Amino acid sequence: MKYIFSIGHYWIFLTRLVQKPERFNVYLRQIFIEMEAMGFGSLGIVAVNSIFMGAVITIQSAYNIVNPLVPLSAIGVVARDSMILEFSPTVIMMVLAGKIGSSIASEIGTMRVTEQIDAIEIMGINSSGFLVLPKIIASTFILPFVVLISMFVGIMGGWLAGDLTGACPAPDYLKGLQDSFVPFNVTFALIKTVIFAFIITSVSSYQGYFTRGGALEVGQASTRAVVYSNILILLFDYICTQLLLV
Amino acid sequence: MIEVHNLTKRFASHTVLENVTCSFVPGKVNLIIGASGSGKTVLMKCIVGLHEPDEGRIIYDGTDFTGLSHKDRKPIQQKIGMLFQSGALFDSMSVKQNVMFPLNMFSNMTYKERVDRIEFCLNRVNLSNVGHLYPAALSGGMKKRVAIARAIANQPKYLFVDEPNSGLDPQTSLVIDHLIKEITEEFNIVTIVNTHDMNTVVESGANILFIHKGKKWFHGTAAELIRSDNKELNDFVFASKMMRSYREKANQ
Ligand SMILES: Nc1ncnc2c1ncn2[C@@H]1O[C@H](COP(=O)(O)OP(=O)(O)OP(=O)(O)O)[C@@H](O)[C@H]1O
Ligand SMILES: [Mg+2]
Repeated sequence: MKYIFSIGHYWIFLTRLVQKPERFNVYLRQIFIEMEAMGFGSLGIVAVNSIFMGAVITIQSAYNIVNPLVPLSAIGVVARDSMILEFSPTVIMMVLAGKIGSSIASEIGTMRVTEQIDAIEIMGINSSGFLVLPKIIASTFILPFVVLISMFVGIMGGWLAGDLTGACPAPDYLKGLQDSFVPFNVTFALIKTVIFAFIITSVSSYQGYFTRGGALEVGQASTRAVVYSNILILLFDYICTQLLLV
Repeated sequence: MIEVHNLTKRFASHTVLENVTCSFVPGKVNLIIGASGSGKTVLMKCIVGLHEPDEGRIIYDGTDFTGLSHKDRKPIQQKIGMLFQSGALFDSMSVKQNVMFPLNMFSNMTYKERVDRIEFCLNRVNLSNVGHLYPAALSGGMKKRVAIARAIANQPKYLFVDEPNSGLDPQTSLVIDHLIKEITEEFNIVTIVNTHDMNTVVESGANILFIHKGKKWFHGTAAELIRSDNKELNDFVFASKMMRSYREKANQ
């Protein structure tokens, strides 16, 4: 019952976001600020995560392929497809749910408990639209680029690890990368990214926006934001895969 | 003019305001006084629409505010300036950006005009050299003054000030009282000030509402207040030695 109520409440929250902006250029500036924070701000953590994921996938696949009939280039195929299909869009977005989601929930939650949202509301500004809409637009626009970078860096990581350890020499790996490449996989990954970006920003904003109490509740809201975002990302990952790939 | 008719506000079963009826006139400083926890802030938040009253109506210059949808309230709210008890400055913005925020949202001024306007406002609250700082780097009283500057930046028609003097030294406090009184008279705005500072009452109170345990206990001028024989009111107003001596002088 409580969950059904929350879903309805969340839905109403979303419908309130879309209203005519009071000042278009103020919103636009806000979008660029958010894009910079979410995009550039995430590159470090995304690069580190991706490079290690790519490296681990490569070495693990090499370790698992013991059959001499399977060519070494298969490792390149596995690394490429796992990065593109699952690791970059889903795992990296879950990492970003931790980074971006908790920061959004605590930012908006703090604004709520210190009456900053009331101060915005009282000026006759649609506070949820003003605070949340730029974040949603910025994230759905910039995070696909971040995920593309993650794919690239991850595949590079696999290449490096394979070549340095000798598990998969560079020529085999590169041959694997080009083998039976399906461009739609990238499109699919980017579609998922947009959906996940929307989930992270909207769910975290919702959690922050309806925080009641003080610093303690802000912390709890930020934890809930990350947990719910992650669960929803996994759920929608499954739904998207079922709908678009099978 | 802002009128409040039979306002009742409850939180769960706790009745905070009961059947309050009063009116606030333009061009004069309207004061709401009362002990801590008596419901002053809740009354103010009901009037501006941050709390929905359980019963009663609020009327802005003839327009029934309570009956309006959130969207239809915006035009009235855009003419409201409010100082929150906690200041409620935007942490992520510098002092200048805070004060400029309402101008950016609603005024048609050029950038240069907006900069001049915020400099003027910050000057009025004696804070001309902290524009580049962020709220975290300000003292409590400075935050309050920045918040006042933000509240008056866009030349509101209705000004709500929740405890302008808490956290200020007597001298700065006086400057703020005078500032509020001045702009109220100059621009003929409806100003409502929550306070339990008796200096403010004596300095600028023209139309005073005393709230006691959620009920309207007294409504009148400062002179009437001093002469009143209401026990609760007298206990509140003349709690300090200074006020008692003030009464003696007034009576002589
Ligand atoms: N959001 C809320 N939920 C429940 N109770 C509340 C809420 N806001 C205020 N109250 C209660 O309403 C009563 C009046 O509070 P209010 O903040 O109006 O007092 P006040 O007169 O402004 O006091 P002070 O001078 O200390 O600021 C208090 O008993 C408080 O507990
Ligand atoms: Mg109060």
